[in-house]
Amino acid sequence: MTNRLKKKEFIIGSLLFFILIIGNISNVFAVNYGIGVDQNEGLVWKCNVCNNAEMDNIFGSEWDSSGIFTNLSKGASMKWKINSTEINSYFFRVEYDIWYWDLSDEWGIKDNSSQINIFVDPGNYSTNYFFVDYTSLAPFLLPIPVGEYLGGLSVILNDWHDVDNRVLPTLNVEVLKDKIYPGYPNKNIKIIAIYNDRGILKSYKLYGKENTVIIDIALNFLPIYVIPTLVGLVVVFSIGVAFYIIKKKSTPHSP
Amino acid sequence: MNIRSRFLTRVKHLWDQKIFRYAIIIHSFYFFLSIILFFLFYKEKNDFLIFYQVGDIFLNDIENLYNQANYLWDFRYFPLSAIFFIPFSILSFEIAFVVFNIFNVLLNILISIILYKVIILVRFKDHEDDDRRVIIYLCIYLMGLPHVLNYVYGQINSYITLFILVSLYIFIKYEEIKWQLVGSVILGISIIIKPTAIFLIPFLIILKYDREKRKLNFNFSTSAVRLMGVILPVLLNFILFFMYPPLWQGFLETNFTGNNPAALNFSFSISKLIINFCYLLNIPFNQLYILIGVIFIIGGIGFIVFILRKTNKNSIIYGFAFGITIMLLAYYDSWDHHLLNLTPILIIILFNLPRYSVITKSIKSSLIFFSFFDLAFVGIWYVIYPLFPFNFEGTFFLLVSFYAIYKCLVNNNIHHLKGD
Repeated sequence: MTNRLKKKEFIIGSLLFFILIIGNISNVFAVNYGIGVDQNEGLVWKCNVCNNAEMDNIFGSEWDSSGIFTNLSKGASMKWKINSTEINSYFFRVEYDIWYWDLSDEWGIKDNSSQINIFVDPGNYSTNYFFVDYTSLAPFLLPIPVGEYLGGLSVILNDWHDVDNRVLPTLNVEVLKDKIYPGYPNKNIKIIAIYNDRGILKSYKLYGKENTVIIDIALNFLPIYVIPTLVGLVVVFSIGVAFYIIKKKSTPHSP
Repeated sequence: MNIRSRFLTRVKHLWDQKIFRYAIIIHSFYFFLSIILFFLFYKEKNDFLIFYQVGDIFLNDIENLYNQANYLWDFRYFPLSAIFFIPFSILSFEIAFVVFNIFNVLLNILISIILYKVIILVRFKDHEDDDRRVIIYLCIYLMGLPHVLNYVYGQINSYITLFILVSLYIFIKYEEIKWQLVGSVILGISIIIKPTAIFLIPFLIILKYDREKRKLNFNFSTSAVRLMGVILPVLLNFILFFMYPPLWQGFLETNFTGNNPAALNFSFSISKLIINFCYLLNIPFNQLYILIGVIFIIGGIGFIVFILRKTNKNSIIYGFAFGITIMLLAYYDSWDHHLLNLTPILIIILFNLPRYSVITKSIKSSLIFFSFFDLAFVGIWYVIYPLFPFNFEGTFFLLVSFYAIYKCLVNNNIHHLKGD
């Protein structure tokens, strides 16, 4: 009886000890944010859809004369070359050369140089923040791990934003007519910005009335493993189907 | 022999079987793996975080229960579900997660017991007399990979599965009207916690078309009791909606204004495959219309087939299987861990069908895919989504299951089904 009691006490004690230990361990882990791009790295985005007339209606005729959308048109590409990345206690600073949207394959001389400053701690942004400095209303670069950073931003950003970092780090933005200032935007818009695991904007879609795509920008980079995996999958699937059909034909039909 | 010694003898008998030992070891591994992954990677990115906050907000700031700024991801369930999470909210978050998952382990033991009891109750006569094969399938359930994500995310699917199985057991075991009420109330409670079982409601109606007499048979009293039982717990939420009007507004806004375009994910529902297709090709879409369309088509087919079924006593099993399959095929977000609601029902069907029925092949292949391969395709989706963002393999096997259930209900060759 005493032995049994001791055994029970030991099990319960061990369980409580386990729970307490992990409760303490949990405080040790904290997210350390970083920057996912490297010095001298080139990033190219391509514009798949650009409805210029509708953009004129929504943002006025000057929307493509400055900022990240300068000269944006369908089929054009934009390039960044990362010059430096710097981290201090408060900011990530990324300096880069930029070649604005152009239909030509030759990049030539850069159009401008610019820099991005991002708070190391997403909590340092002011409450109800929105990306007003970006014409795109969504940044092209975020710190990594991007899902966690977006998660941190989700409690800071104003109610236009909805962060979904369950599957792909995604920033959904819905801006109603006249919300930024009267006449801007001139219609309700929705944006879906998806980031890759390096914090680089991978896909940017701006939707207008009835969810029509007005702008579609995508990072012009396909990881090397995508096509071989897809081909492998198609081959395996085809062999599986063929095998099934052959087996089905060779087996007598049972009632 | 008292209960304790009976229990020990039973456990010893089970432990003597190699597959049972493997199942216990593998399931324990899933549990400990989830704890490690939680503390290393998922502490700030899991579903339990929402449930934990919900319990606290329900206690302290109930009017803001649907203020989504309080949560990492949207809270969409009925307000009464929050009561369920209050005990966990009292603990610290990390301890609550571990305790919650310990409960999940205990629930899986209970699910296995109730699953065993249902199988023994509905097992077709030409199956083996001993329970060796039953134990193998229980072990398949316990070893299923969907448990990994269920534990890691701190999800509540095991709770739902238990409620569904208990109500199924009651519906099958007891024909008295009071038990029909009890079974449906239990189902109603599961809908409060998480509305997965909401598409099971139409299949509670005892409505059948008699093809020989060419008339509809409708058991009004039992159907009414069942509907009342399942809807009553859900209606209790309206007391809260009445007391706190912002709750009603928040609930509606969160659940019924989702017509915005949505980004890609690996959900295997038909609705999501269509949404992903529209997203990829820049086709304008309204996800709410897509959802309604898919529910109308898949749900409509399922319900019509159910009405046209050959007479059978255990048709409720197939109704439940239809209801969950329709939910998984239609709702936007159908993840790997949601399959834990379906696999036990598929196992029951395997035993309710004749031992060597042709249909079992389809059910078996779906069960094996859901238990051991679906998770792999989630991983593959991450690799290929830039070019091909469709996790269609799960959809394919859900459709295979759907077709198999249809065959079970309408096939003339299955004479094992007893009359109503």
